[in-house]
Amino acid sequence: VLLQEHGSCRVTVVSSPPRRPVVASPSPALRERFLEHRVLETAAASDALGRADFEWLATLGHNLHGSGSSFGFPHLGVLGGQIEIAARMSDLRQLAELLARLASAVSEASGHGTRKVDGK
Amino acid sequence: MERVAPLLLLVDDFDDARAMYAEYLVLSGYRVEQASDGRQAVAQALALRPDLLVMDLSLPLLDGWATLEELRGDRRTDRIPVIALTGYAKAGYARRARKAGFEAFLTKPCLPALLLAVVGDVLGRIRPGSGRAVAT
Repeated sequence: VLLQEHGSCRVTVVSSPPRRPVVASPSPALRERFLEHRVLETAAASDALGRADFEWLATLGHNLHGSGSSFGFPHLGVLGGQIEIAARMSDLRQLAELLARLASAVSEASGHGTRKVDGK
Repeated sequence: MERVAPLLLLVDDFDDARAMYAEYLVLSGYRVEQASDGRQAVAQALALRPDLLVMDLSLPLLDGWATLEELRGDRRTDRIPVIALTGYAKAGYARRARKAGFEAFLTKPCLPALLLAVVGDVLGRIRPGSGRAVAT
């Protein structure tokens, strides 16, 4: 509790100290949901690849690139960046390979549970 | 007189990223509301008058550039600082963002700790004394 004088008026300012973030990475629940969404997404990616929907695949890669590290999965972020580039170049062969690697990486991350962060 | 934590409006159409940043900012003591497209962001900004927006540039319905323009065109929202948070780090984007009126320009991947630091910095500049989140 801080007491401050403002002219002749005495004001009581109740102020807690700033809260510090208690976690350096998202909560296990959020990371788990993130991986669940990626599992669904990799399944849908096969269909997108089949119809050569490069815009959809570029968005998938773009979002993954932007978020993987923050969720504690930097390798997924790197793959996302590569997928986005391959999609922008309409490179079906490269996309097929990258999506297979993504499915495997997501499966591995999910299999090890959300405790596995940054490979630790 | 109790200090109230600054209210942030987080605008991103990628649900997972939005949830992740929101969680981090809330844990850091901010109040956070969310929007998933530009139209929703304008409506929320008018209704809630947040202290700051953190906004993706690539958004459905109304992109981040157009959303900022709408906010700047209304005197009820023209002074709300807006931070651009985008995955499109094209050449000249940062300069264009500054010129358009964004207070800061961040590119994804952006770790939440960096966003937190920039939010605190912008709030501190715009409203001295409010740059640090305060528990309510």
